[in-house]
Amino acid sequence: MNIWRELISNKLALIGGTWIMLWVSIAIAGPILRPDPSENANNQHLDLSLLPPGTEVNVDGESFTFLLGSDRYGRDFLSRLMAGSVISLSVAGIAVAISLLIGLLLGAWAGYKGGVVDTVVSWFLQVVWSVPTLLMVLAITLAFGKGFWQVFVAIGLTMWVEVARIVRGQFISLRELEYVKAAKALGLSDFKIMFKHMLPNAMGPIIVVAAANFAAAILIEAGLSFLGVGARIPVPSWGNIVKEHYHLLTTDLAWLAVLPGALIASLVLAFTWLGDGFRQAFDVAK
Amino acid sequence: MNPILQVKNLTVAFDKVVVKDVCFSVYPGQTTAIVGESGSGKTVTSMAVMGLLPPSGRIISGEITGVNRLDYIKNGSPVGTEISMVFQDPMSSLNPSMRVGSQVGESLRVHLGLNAREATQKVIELFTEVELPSPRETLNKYPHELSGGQKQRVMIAMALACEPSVLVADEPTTALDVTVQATILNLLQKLQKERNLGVLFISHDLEVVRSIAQHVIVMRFGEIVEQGLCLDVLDSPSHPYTIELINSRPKKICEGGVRSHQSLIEVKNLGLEFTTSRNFWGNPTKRFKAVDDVSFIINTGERVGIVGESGCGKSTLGLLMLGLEKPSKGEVVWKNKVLNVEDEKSMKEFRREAQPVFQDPFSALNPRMKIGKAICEAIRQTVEGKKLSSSQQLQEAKSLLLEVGLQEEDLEKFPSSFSGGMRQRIVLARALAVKPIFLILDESVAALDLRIQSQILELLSEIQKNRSLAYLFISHDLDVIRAVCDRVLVMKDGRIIEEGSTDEVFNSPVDSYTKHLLESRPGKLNFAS
Amino acid sequence: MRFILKRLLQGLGVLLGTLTLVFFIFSFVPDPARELAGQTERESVVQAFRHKHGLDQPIHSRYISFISNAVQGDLGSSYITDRPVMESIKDALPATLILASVAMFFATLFGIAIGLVLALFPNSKMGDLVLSICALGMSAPSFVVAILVAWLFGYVLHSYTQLPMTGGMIIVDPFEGPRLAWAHLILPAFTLGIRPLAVIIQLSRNSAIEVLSQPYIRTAKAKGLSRSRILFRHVLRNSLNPVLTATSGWFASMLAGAVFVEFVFGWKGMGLLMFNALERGDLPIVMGCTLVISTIFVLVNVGVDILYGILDPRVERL
Repeated sequence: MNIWRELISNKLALIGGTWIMLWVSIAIAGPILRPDPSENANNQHLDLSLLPPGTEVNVDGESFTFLLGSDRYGRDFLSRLMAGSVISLSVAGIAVAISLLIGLLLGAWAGYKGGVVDTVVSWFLQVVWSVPTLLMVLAITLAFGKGFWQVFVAIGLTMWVEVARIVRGQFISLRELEYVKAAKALGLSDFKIMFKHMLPNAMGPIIVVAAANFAAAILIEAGLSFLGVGARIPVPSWGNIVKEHYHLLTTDLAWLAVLPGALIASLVLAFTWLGDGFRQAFDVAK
Repeated sequence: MNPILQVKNLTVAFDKVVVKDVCFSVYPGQTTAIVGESGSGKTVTSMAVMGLLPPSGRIISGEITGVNRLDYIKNGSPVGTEISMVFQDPMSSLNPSMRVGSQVGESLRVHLGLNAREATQKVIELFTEVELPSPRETLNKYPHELSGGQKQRVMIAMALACEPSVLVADEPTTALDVTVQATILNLLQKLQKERNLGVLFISHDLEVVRSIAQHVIVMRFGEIVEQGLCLDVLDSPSHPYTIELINSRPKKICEGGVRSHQSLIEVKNLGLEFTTSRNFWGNPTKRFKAVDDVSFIINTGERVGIVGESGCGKSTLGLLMLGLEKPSKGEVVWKNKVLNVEDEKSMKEFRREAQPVFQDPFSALNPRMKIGKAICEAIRQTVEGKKLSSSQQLQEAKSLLLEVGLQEEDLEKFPSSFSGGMRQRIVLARALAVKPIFLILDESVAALDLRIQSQILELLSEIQKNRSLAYLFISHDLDVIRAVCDRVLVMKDGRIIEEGSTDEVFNSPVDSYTKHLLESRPGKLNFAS
Repeated sequence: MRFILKRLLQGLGVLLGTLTLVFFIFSFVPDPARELAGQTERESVVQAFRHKHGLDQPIHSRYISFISNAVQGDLGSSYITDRPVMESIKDALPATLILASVAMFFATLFGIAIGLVLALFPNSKMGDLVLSICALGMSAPSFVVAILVAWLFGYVLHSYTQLPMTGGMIIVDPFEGPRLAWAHLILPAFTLGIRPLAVIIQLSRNSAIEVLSQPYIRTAKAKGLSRSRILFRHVLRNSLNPVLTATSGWFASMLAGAVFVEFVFGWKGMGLLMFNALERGDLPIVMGCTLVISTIFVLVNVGVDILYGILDPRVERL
């Protein structure tokens, strides 16, 4: 297990991993940690909008501190940001799971079998590949209605192509290796050869592409929410928080748009670093 | 005679010292050879002389002086003009996206300041000198359009372009077929004489060294164990390691196991074709016959060899016989029954009885599977093996490891902790786990050092005898085939052109190609010097 | 010739698949007739709307007419304005193409140059810094980058740059009529190019490092060639392939990703057209845009492949 040791010794990967864990905990803890524990952190007080950080107010007879100020609808900005992480992470998690499932099966099948199967799968890969991810997601969300689950599925259904391409390539080169030929000559079943002998040896690139897909899914979800296709108001998502506030750019309150944007970038960067860490660890292990 | 290149007390280190205190000289018109096995430091020495060490390596001490007392390490390097190099692998040593003419011309233009027309003229002369066919047309070809031998000729032309006085040749013929090797060595000798070149020749092959070198240095673990005049060292070696090296050439292992005249596997008119070119409408216009109408029989307990040069179809034939490729015509008959790749049940039985051992020990084992697990997996493929408990399986795996000369504790190790020779033993153990009666050995010892090679060959013969196996040994190496086979088939361009008992074929070959092949063997090379 | 034809045919096959895929995904979209025709309208109006846009046909005949119309360049007409989709796209496409091409051109140029320099010093501090900036550039969502760039250069630094925060390519002057405003191109193109630039820097660096470790580079060193000659004559060309592949692969997703940049900068291109259509549920326009962009993607890829076949002597021309 020196892959883990390598990974931990990689500073950037460690920082990325820690940052991801932090936000995963925040998302899982949900209302317990949030200053505003209401569903979706949606306690609106329009008279208290756009207050600076640290402002103490009296809400319904109780004192409340806007640690990061309040947003344009007078909601606690910190709570909104914390609640927004749920969407980003769950979309990424589910989309990556879907993409891995489809991508692994199709890619492995095509790469191992070759011939007609490969030709057909490759053609299908090219077809899906040629519809840009964003447009594909738009189309799927339009077709199945706007909403939470639709976005999950839509992103998963577009990102599997990347996984399938990688897996297929890996399997094609692994197929030529002598231990795979030897396994065939021993009479092992195709299933055993694919999943016991080939898949473990293709794991490195697959983990790397999975990390990249996490990053991509977060970006796409943020973009969709920004366009108003993803998470529906009042569900907070970092993307739609940017959208709600970006008209404030030319004011002192620009950070209301910049901070959620930076959070998206930081989480994406964290996944990128983690993926790079995995790649290097696998390279060293070889 | 004054040396043209002198290396004194050279010590080179990467993480640790890999070349230690090496001294030698190269004389004009003569060849100094460095011999050693992989990891002996011979290539690092040549790289240091060329100033081509990678950034992680450095020269710790020593002096390399060349013509006119030029200090190679201190002064501006005379690399490319006074000293140049020919590498082992001509396939990857030429820039794939540049025409060979301009690759050779580049040196001329950079170092001698020739213009394009003059350079082209000179390149044509050089190509003529290295005996490339139609030098003028070759100019405009890309490396991938040339054969291996032709590429090496281009490399030689490139090295000689600026008329150096020293040529470093690092295993220049190892990647080439035996017949091509002979012609390239011939060419090098001719050019050396014409140009009074000093050659530093790196090789693992003592027979090649014997035929071309005047001085020889034997290296092991980065140190010189013996050096002197070539014939002195090779004919009366004093160091035990040198003696061992010389004795490690494959020797005839006479007796095989019990043989019968019962046909075990029969190949009938087997053929495999690929389409290499199609016309505008996609109809094939050119077909390449990898295996062309091959028929032969192997009897129970018989040791048969197939010998041929690269691309002759011998490995493809092996895959066809194992049912890992589908033939485009003909059939394989196993124990008097036609083998049907589609029939899973009979294939399963066949796979238990016929096992391969491939060439590359480094890709033959799943790097993520412990040795014990890999062998137990194979054991479970047999009917009896399936019934065994896992501890019984381990017991069986252990006895297999002991049989191939490994230890019990190796069961718990991953392949990465073994050397090439040991891995090949493990591969053999895995193949034996299903209790086969027939092995296909595809270049099974080609990637190993000579000493290890002979150890594996001896192990193989012992196992063959004890288990009364039949095998088909596929190899490019005539000496290996001669050592361990009773009968030999010679293959060329997908066809079998000669067949007979080993003694017959080696002592009185009938076909002219077989004769040519036998004459090209390094041990047989006879240069009029 | 055969190679080119084969590649074209393959492209055609992919294109047909893409058309089909897009059609079927959009065929799941719930019937918009009732909603678009307005709640109060009579049933006959809704029926007329359905008939006009072919929504009353069974799916297979819709598919056939969709394909045959698309092949003839007819992508239907807008649900809302009734204007043929092709015309709207013809208006919007050039602006986006110019934006994307300019961005891609500079990203490729600088990306390869910077990547090559980084490859020469694989373990330097400077190199690490540039790579970190690249990672950052790839991590930031394009709408955030767009907002930041617009804010920084168009607002904070406006007095230095004289660049506007927003604006399309064509300005209609009340007196002189429409004119091109090239200055408006700078910020959007810069924003759009950041991500490809970061990707190309990394790719060309990795690719050049890979090439530098090849035996033929050792041969070049053994010839005694200078570093710069080795770099330009031997490394550059051999390391271009993966970079060009990525560039062509990126071009179409840039057309799509331009949506954010166009939205933020108010650049009147395909992205904005699509965004507005999306807001209004104007399906034919969204579908048309998707198709056009996918087609461009396929064409660019086929083009680049054919270019390879001509440039790289090793490509199999079966």
